Amino acid sequence: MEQISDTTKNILSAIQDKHVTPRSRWYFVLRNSILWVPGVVTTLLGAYTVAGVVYGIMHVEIVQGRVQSTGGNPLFYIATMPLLWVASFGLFSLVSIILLRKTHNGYRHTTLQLLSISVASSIVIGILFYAVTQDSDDNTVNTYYRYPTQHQKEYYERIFPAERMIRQEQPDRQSQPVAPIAL
Amino acid sequence: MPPSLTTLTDEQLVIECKKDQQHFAVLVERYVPKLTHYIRRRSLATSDDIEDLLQNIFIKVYRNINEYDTSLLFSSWIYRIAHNEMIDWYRREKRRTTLSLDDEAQDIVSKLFTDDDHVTRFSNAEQKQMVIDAVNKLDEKYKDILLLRFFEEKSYEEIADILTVPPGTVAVRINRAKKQLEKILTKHGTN
Repeated sequence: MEQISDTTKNILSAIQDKHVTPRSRWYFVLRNSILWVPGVVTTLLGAYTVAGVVYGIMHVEIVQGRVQSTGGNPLFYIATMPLLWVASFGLFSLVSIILLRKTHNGYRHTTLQLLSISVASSIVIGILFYAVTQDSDDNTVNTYYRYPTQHQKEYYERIFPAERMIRQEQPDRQSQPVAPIAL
Repeated sequence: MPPSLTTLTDEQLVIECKKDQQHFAVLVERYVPKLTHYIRRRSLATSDDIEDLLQNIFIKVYRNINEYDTSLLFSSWIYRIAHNEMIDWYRREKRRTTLSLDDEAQDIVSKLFTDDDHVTRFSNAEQKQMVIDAVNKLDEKYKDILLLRFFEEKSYEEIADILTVPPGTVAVRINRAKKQLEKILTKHGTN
Protein backbone atom coordinates (compact mmCIF):
# COMPACT_ATOMS: atom_id res chain seq x y z
CA MET A 1 0.00 0.00 0.00
CA GLU A 2 1.32 3.39 -0.99
CA GLN A 3 1.01 6.26 1.46
CA ILE A 4 -1.26 9.18 0.59
CA SER A 5 -0.32 12.71 1.56
CA ASP A 6 -2.05 14.78 4.24
CA THR A 7 -3.32 17.22 1.63
CA THR A 8 -5.02 14.39 -0.25
CA LYS A 9 -6.50 13.09 3.01
CA ASN A 10 -7.85 16.57 3.85
CA ILE A 11 -9.38 16.95 0.41
CA LEU A 12 -11.06 13.55 0.54
CA SER A 13 -12.42 14.14 4.03
CA ALA A 14 -13.72 17.59 2.95
CA ILE A 15 -15.59 15.89 0.10
CA GLN A 16 -17.09 13.42 2.57
CA ASP A 17 -17.90 16.02 5.24
CA LYS A 18 -19.66 18.29 2.76
CA HIS A 19 -21.52 15.28 1.29
CA VAL A 20 -20.36 16.19 -2.21
CA THR A 21 -21.72 13.84 -4.86
CA PRO A 22 -21.16 13.92 -8.62
CA ARG A 23 -23.91 15.70 -10.55
CA SER A 24 -25.93 13.50 -12.88
CA ARG A 25 -24.73 13.16 -16.48
CA TRP A 26 -28.21 14.30 -17.60
CA TYR A 27 -27.74 17.60 -15.83
CA PHE A 28 -24.83 18.37 -18.17
CA VAL A 29 -26.59 16.98 -21.24
CA LEU A 30 -29.58 19.25 -20.53
CA ARG A 31 -27.38 22.27 -19.85
CA ASN A 32 -25.45 21.72 -23.05
CA SER A 33 -28.68 21.31 -25.03
CA ILE A 34 -30.09 24.56 -23.63
CA LEU A 35 -26.95 26.37 -24.79
CA TRP A 36 -27.64 25.14 -28.34
CA VAL A 37 -31.26 26.40 -28.45
CA PRO A 38 -30.47 30.06 -29.33
CA GLY A 39 -28.07 28.81 -32.03
CA VAL A 40 -30.80 26.72 -33.64
CA VAL A 41 -33.35 29.55 -33.32
CA THR A 42 -30.86 31.95 -34.94
CA THR A 43 -30.33 29.64 -37.89
CA LEU A 44 -34.09 29.17 -38.37
CA LEU A 45 -34.67 32.91 -38.08
CA GLY A 46 -31.93 33.42 -40.66
CA ALA A 47 -33.56 30.81 -42.90
CA TYR A 48 -36.88 32.67 -42.65
CA THR A 49 -35.11 35.91 -43.58
CA VAL A 50 -33.44 34.26 -46.58
CA ALA A 51 -36.79 32.80 -47.68
CA GLY A 52 -38.26 36.31 -47.46
CA VAL A 53 -35.44 37.79 -49.53
CA VAL A 54 -35.76 35.05 -52.17
CA TYR A 55 -39.50 35.67 -52.25
CA GLY A 56 -38.86 39.38 -52.79
CA ILE A 57 -36.45 38.65 -55.65
CA MET A 58 -38.78 36.17 -57.32
CA HIS A 59 -41.88 38.37 -56.93
CA VAL A 60 -40.38 41.79 -57.38
CA GLU A 61 -43.51 43.14 -59.10
CA ILE A 62 -45.70 42.18 -56.13
CA VAL A 63 -43.37 43.81 -53.63
CA GLN A 64 -43.32 46.93 -55.78
CA GLY A 65 -47.10 46.76 -55.95
CA ARG A 66 -47.36 46.64 -52.19
CA VAL A 67 -45.16 49.67 -51.88
CA GLN A 68 -47.03 51.51 -54.60
CA SER A 69 -50.38 50.66 -53.00
CA THR A 70 -49.48 52.75 -49.95
CA GLY A 71 -49.01 55.82 -52.09
CA GLY A 72 -45.23 55.73 -51.64
CA ASN A 73 -45.17 55.97 -47.83
CA PRO A 74 -41.44 55.69 -46.97
CA LEU A 75 -42.18 53.80 -43.73
CA PHE A 76 -43.81 51.09 -45.74
CA TYR A 77 -40.74 50.90 -47.94
CA ILE A 78 -38.70 50.07 -44.85
CA ALA A 79 -41.28 47.61 -43.53
CA THR A 80 -41.32 45.81 -46.88
CA MET A 81 -37.63 45.07 -46.62
CA PRO A 82 -36.60 42.32 -44.19
CA LEU A 83 -34.65 44.82 -42.09
CA LEU A 84 -36.27 43.76 -38.85
CA TRP A 85 -35.48 40.14 -39.58
CA VAL A 86 -31.90 41.05 -40.34
CA ALA A 87 -31.59 43.08 -37.13
CA SER A 88 -33.09 40.34 -34.97
CA PHE A 89 -30.88 37.80 -36.75
CA GLY A 90 -27.86 39.90 -35.78
CA LEU A 91 -29.00 40.09 -32.16
CA PHE A 92 -29.70 36.37 -31.96
CA SER A 93 -26.34 35.61 -33.59
CA LEU A 94 -24.55 37.59 -30.91
CA VAL A 95 -26.35 35.82 -28.06
CA SER A 96 -26.00 32.38 -29.59
CA ILE A 97 -22.28 32.82 -30.26
CA ILE A 98 -21.70 33.77 -26.63
CA LEU A 99 -23.64 30.69 -25.51
CA LEU A 100 -22.11 28.35 -28.11
CA ARG A 101 -18.70 29.29 -26.74
CA LYS A 102 -19.78 27.67 -23.48
CA THR A 103 -20.62 24.33 -25.07
CA HIS A 104 -18.16 21.41 -24.96
CA ASN A 105 -16.17 22.30 -28.08
CA GLY A 106 -17.68 25.65 -29.05
CA TYR A 107 -14.70 27.65 -27.83
CA ARG A 108 -12.42 25.94 -30.35
CA HIS A 109 -14.08 27.91 -33.18
CA THR A 110 -13.62 31.59 -33.87
CA THR A 111 -16.57 34.00 -33.96
CA LEU A 112 -16.17 34.26 -37.74
CA GLN A 113 -16.34 30.46 -38.12
CA LEU A 114 -19.47 30.19 -35.96
CA LEU A 115 -21.12 33.08 -37.80
CA SER A 116 -20.22 31.62 -41.21
CA ILE A 117 -21.68 28.22 -40.29
CA SER A 118 -24.86 29.88 -39.04
CA VAL A 119 -25.25 32.11 -42.14
CA ALA A 120 -24.45 29.26 -44.58
CA SER A 121 -26.99 26.97 -42.85
CA SER A 122 -29.57 29.77 -42.92
CA ILE A 123 -29.07 30.30 -46.66
CA VAL A 124 -29.41 26.59 -47.47
CA ILE A 125 -32.43 26.06 -45.19
CA GLY A 126 -33.97 29.37 -46.38
CA ILE A 127 -33.77 28.38 -50.05
CA LEU A 128 -35.20 24.94 -49.23
CA PHE A 129 -37.92 26.59 -47.17
CA TYR A 130 -38.81 28.87 -50.08
CA ALA A 131 -38.75 25.97 -52.58
CA VAL A 132 -40.98 23.76 -50.41
CA THR A 133 -43.52 26.47 -49.56
CA GLN A 134 -43.49 28.17 -52.95
CA ASP A 135 -46.96 26.95 -53.87
CA SER A 136 -48.52 28.04 -50.62
CA ASP A 137 -46.76 31.41 -50.94
CA ASP A 138 -48.32 31.92 -54.34
CA ASN A 139 -51.69 31.05 -52.88
CA THR A 140 -51.18 33.65 -50.17
CA VAL A 141 -50.32 36.20 -52.82
CA ASN A 142 -53.37 35.26 -54.84
CA THR A 143 -55.56 35.62 -51.78
CA TYR A 144 -53.99 38.99 -51.16
CA TYR A 145 -54.79 40.13 -54.66
CA ARG A 146 -58.29 38.64 -54.64
CA TYR A 147 -59.44 41.67 -52.68
CA PRO A 148 -57.02 44.36 -53.85
CA THR A 149 -57.23 47.98 -52.84
CA GLN A 150 -57.93 50.56 -55.51
CA HIS A 151 -54.23 51.51 -55.61
CA GLN A 152 -53.20 47.87 -55.99
CA LYS A 153 -55.77 47.31 -58.69
CA GLU A 154 -54.57 50.29 -60.67
CA TYR A 155 -50.91 49.41 -60.26
CA TYR A 156 -51.42 45.74 -61.07
CA GLU A 157 -53.38 46.61 -64.17
CA ARG A 158 -50.74 49.11 -65.22
CA ILE A 159 -47.92 46.57 -65.03
CA PHE A 160 -49.94 43.69 -66.40
CA PRO A 161 -51.95 45.28 -69.25
CA ALA A 162 -52.45 41.90 -70.93
CA GLU A 163 -54.07 40.49 -67.85
CA ARG A 164 -56.27 43.56 -67.66
CA MET A 165 -57.57 42.78 -71.13
CA ILE A 166 -58.31 39.20 -70.18
CA ARG A 167 -60.05 40.23 -66.98
CA GLN A 168 -62.08 42.97 -68.65
CA GLU A 169 -65.76 42.35 -68.27
CA GLN A 170 -67.08 40.33 -71.15
CA PRO A 171 -70.52 41.19 -72.42
CA ASP A 172 -73.20 38.92 -70.99
CA ARG A 173 -74.21 37.24 -74.22
CA GLN A 174 -77.35 35.61 -72.81
CA SER A 175 -78.96 38.86 -71.64
CA GLN A 176 -78.16 40.67 -74.86
CA PRO A 177 -80.50 40.34 -77.79
CA VAL A 178 -79.12 38.26 -80.55
CA ALA A 179 -78.20 40.49 -83.41
CA PRO A 180 -79.22 39.25 -86.72
CA ILE A 181 -76.36 38.15 -88.81
CA ALA A 182 -76.13 40.10 -91.95
CA LEU A 183 -75.78 37.76 -94.78
CA MET B 1 -3.71 2.88 -2.30
CA PRO B 2 -3.15 -0.30 -4.35
CA PRO B 3 -0.07 0.06 -6.61
CA SER B 4 -2.02 -1.27 -9.61
CA LEU B 5 -4.16 1.90 -9.59
CA THR B 6 -1.19 4.16 -10.10
CA THR B 7 -0.50 2.57 -13.50
CA LEU B 8 -3.91 3.66 -14.84
CA THR B 9 -4.16 6.74 -17.04
CA ASP B 10 -6.06 9.82 -15.85
CA GLU B 11 -8.90 9.09 -18.24
CA GLN B 12 -9.23 5.50 -17.00
CA LEU B 13 -9.24 6.72 -13.41
CA VAL B 14 -12.03 9.21 -14.20
CA ILE B 15 -14.21 6.42 -15.58
CA GLU B 16 -13.48 4.20 -12.58
CA CYS B 17 -13.85 6.88 -9.91
CA LYS B 18 -17.56 7.20 -10.73
CA LYS B 19 -17.92 3.73 -9.17
CA ASP B 20 -15.19 3.79 -6.55
CA GLN B 21 -13.86 6.87 -4.72
CA GLN B 22 -10.47 5.18 -4.23
CA HIS B 23 -9.70 5.93 -7.87
CA PHE B 24 -10.44 9.58 -7.20
CA ALA B 25 -7.87 9.51 -4.41
CA VAL B 26 -5.25 8.47 -6.99
CA LEU B 27 -6.19 11.42 -9.19
CA VAL B 28 -5.99 13.80 -6.24
CA GLU B 29 -2.61 12.42 -5.21
CA ARG B 30 -1.37 12.75 -8.79
CA TYR B 31 -2.50 16.35 -9.31
CA VAL B 32 -1.89 17.92 -5.89
CA PRO B 33 1.86 18.60 -6.54
CA LYS B 34 1.26 19.88 -10.08
CA LEU B 35 -1.57 22.20 -9.08
CA THR B 36 0.31 23.38 -5.99
CA HIS B 37 3.15 24.49 -8.29
CA TYR B 38 0.72 26.14 -10.66
CA ILE B 39 -1.06 28.05 -7.86
CA ARG B 40 2.29 29.09 -6.33
CA ARG B 41 3.53 30.43 -9.66
CA ARG B 42 0.27 32.15 -10.44
CA SER B 43 -0.20 33.93 -7.11
CA LEU B 44 1.29 35.09 -3.89
CA ALA B 45 -1.08 32.79 -1.99
CA THR B 46 -0.06 31.55 1.43
CA SER B 47 0.11 27.83 2.27
CA ASP B 48 -3.36 28.03 3.86
CA ASP B 49 -4.76 29.75 0.80
CA ILE B 50 -3.23 27.06 -1.40
CA GLU B 51 -4.78 24.33 0.76
CA ASP B 52 -8.20 26.02 0.48
CA LEU B 53 -7.83 26.52 -3.24
CA LEU B 54 -6.86 22.88 -3.77
CA GLN B 55 -9.83 21.74 -1.72
CA ASN B 56 -12.22 23.89 -3.75
CA ILE B 57 -10.69 22.70 -7.02
CA PHE B 58 -11.03 19.00 -6.17
CA ILE B 59 -14.56 19.45 -4.80
CA LYS B 60 -15.52 21.03 -8.14
CA VAL B 61 -13.76 18.26 -10.05
CA TYR B 62 -15.62 15.59 -8.10
CA ARG B 63 -18.99 17.33 -8.36
CA ASN B 64 -18.62 17.85 -12.12
CA ILE B 65 -16.83 14.62 -12.97
CA ASN B 66 -19.68 13.61 -15.32
CA GLU B 67 -19.09 16.76 -17.34
CA TYR B 68 -15.58 15.68 -18.28
CA ASP B 69 -15.38 15.22 -22.03
CA THR B 70 -12.96 12.42 -22.96
CA SER B 71 -12.05 14.23 -26.21
CA LEU B 72 -9.73 16.47 -24.20
CA LEU B 73 -6.95 15.62 -21.79
CA PHE B 74 -7.95 15.31 -18.14
CA SER B 75 -5.00 17.54 -17.24
CA SER B 76 -6.41 20.32 -19.46
CA TRP B 77 -9.81 19.98 -17.82
CA ILE B 78 -8.46 20.09 -14.26
CA TYR B 79 -6.17 23.02 -15.12
CA ARG B 80 -9.21 24.84 -16.54
CA ILE B 81 -11.03 24.37 -13.24
CA ALA B 82 -7.92 25.49 -11.35
CA HIS B 83 -7.56 28.53 -13.63
CA ASN B 84 -11.19 29.56 -13.04
CA GLU B 85 -10.83 28.99 -9.32
CA MET B 86 -7.77 31.25 -9.31
CA ILE B 87 -9.70 33.99 -11.12
CA ASP B 88 -12.46 33.73 -8.48
CA TRP B 89 -9.86 33.85 -5.72
CA TYR B 90 -8.27 37.02 -7.14
CA ARG B 91 -11.73 38.54 -7.43
CA ARG B 92 -12.53 37.70 -3.82
CA GLU B 93 -9.18 39.03 -2.64
CA LYS B 94 -9.50 42.11 -4.90
CA ARG B 95 -5.91 41.74 -6.02
CA ARG B 96 -4.17 42.06 -9.37
CA THR B 97 -2.68 38.84 -10.75
CA THR B 98 0.94 38.61 -9.68
CA LEU B 99 3.10 35.77 -10.85
CA SER B 100 5.51 34.41 -8.30
CA LEU B 101 8.44 33.43 -10.47
CA ASP B 102 11.30 33.92 -8.02
CA ASP B 103 12.04 30.18 -8.01
CA GLU B 104 12.34 30.33 -11.78
CA ALA B 105 14.74 33.32 -11.80
CA GLN B 106 17.70 31.15 -12.73
CA ASP B 107 16.34 30.02 -16.08
CA ILE B 108 13.56 32.54 -16.74
CA VAL B 109 15.39 34.11 -19.67
CA SER B 110 16.09 30.83 -21.42
CA LYS B 111 12.46 29.82 -20.90
CA LEU B 112 11.03 33.02 -22.34
CA PHE B 113 13.58 33.74 -25.07
CA THR B 114 15.18 31.22 -27.38
CA ASP B 115 17.86 33.46 -28.89
CA ASP B 116 21.35 33.84 -27.38
CA ASP B 117 21.11 37.60 -27.64
CA HIS B 118 18.52 37.78 -24.87
CA VAL B 119 20.32 35.19 -22.73
CA THR B 120 23.48 37.33 -22.70
CA ARG B 121 21.46 40.54 -22.28
CA PHE B 122 19.84 39.34 -19.05
CA SER B 123 22.64 37.35 -17.54
CA ASN B 124 22.96 38.62 -13.96
CA ALA B 125 20.48 38.22 -11.08
CA GLU B 126 19.39 41.86 -11.15
CA GLN B 127 18.55 41.73 -14.84
CA LYS B 128 16.67 38.47 -14.34
CA GLN B 129 14.61 40.10 -11.60
CA MET B 130 13.88 42.88 -14.08
CA VAL B 131 12.45 40.28 -16.46
CA ILE B 132 10.23 38.89 -13.67
CA ASP B 133 8.99 42.41 -12.90
CA ALA B 134 8.36 43.03 -16.59
CA VAL B 135 6.32 39.79 -16.82
CA ASN B 136 4.18 41.02 -13.93
CA LYS B 137 3.51 44.28 -15.75
CA LEU B 138 1.98 42.43 -18.69
CA ASP B 139 -1.77 42.40 -19.34
CA GLU B 140 -3.61 39.70 -17.36
CA LYS B 141 -4.37 37.57 -20.41
CA TYR B 142 -0.72 37.59 -21.46
CA LYS B 143 0.53 36.58 -18.01
CA ASP B 144 -1.70 33.51 -18.03
CA ILE B 145 -0.64 32.43 -21.44
CA LEU B 146 3.10 32.85 -20.81
CA LEU B 147 2.82 30.96 -17.53
CA LEU B 148 1.06 28.03 -19.15
CA ARG B 149 3.33 27.93 -22.19
CA PHE B 150 6.78 28.49 -20.73
CA PHE B 151 6.50 27.43 -17.10
CA GLU B 152 3.80 24.74 -17.12
CA GLU B 153 5.08 23.68 -20.57
CA LYS B 154 1.63 23.15 -22.07
CA SER B 155 1.08 22.79 -25.81
CA TYR B 156 -0.99 25.34 -27.78
CA GLU B 157 -3.84 22.85 -27.96
CA GLU B 158 -3.79 22.29 -24.19
CA ILE B 159 -3.66 26.03 -23.49
CA ALA B 160 -6.65 26.52 -25.81
CA ASP B 161 -8.57 23.89 -23.80
CA ILE B 162 -7.55 25.40 -20.46
CA LEU B 163 -8.38 29.00 -21.34
CA THR B 164 -11.33 28.00 -23.61
CA VAL B 165 -10.12 30.05 -26.56
CA PRO B 166 -9.49 28.96 -30.19
CA PRO B 167 -5.95 27.53 -30.75
CA GLY B 168 -5.20 30.35 -33.20
CA THR B 169 -5.84 32.89 -30.47
CA VAL B 170 -3.23 31.18 -28.26
CA ALA B 171 -0.52 31.65 -30.91
CA VAL B 172 -1.52 35.29 -31.44
CA ARG B 173 -1.54 36.03 -27.70
CA ILE B 174 1.88 34.43 -27.13
CA ASN B 175 3.29 36.53 -29.93
CA ARG B 176 1.71 39.72 -28.55
CA ALA B 177 2.80 38.87 -25.01
CA LYS B 178 6.41 38.59 -26.14
CA LYS B 179 6.17 41.88 -28.01
CA GLN B 180 4.67 43.61 -24.98
CA LEU B 181 7.37 42.12 -22.76
CA GLU B 182 10.07 43.38 -25.11
CA LYS B 183 8.45 46.82 -25.08
CA ILE B 184 8.36 46.94 -21.27
CA LEU B 185 12.00 45.83 -21.03
CA THR B 186 13.09 48.42 -23.60
CA LYS B 187 11.14 51.11 -21.75
CA HIS B 188 13.01 50.26 -18.56
CA GLY B 189 16.32 50.75 -20.30
CA THR B 190 17.65 47.23 -20.47
CA ASN B 191 18.55 47.62 -24.08
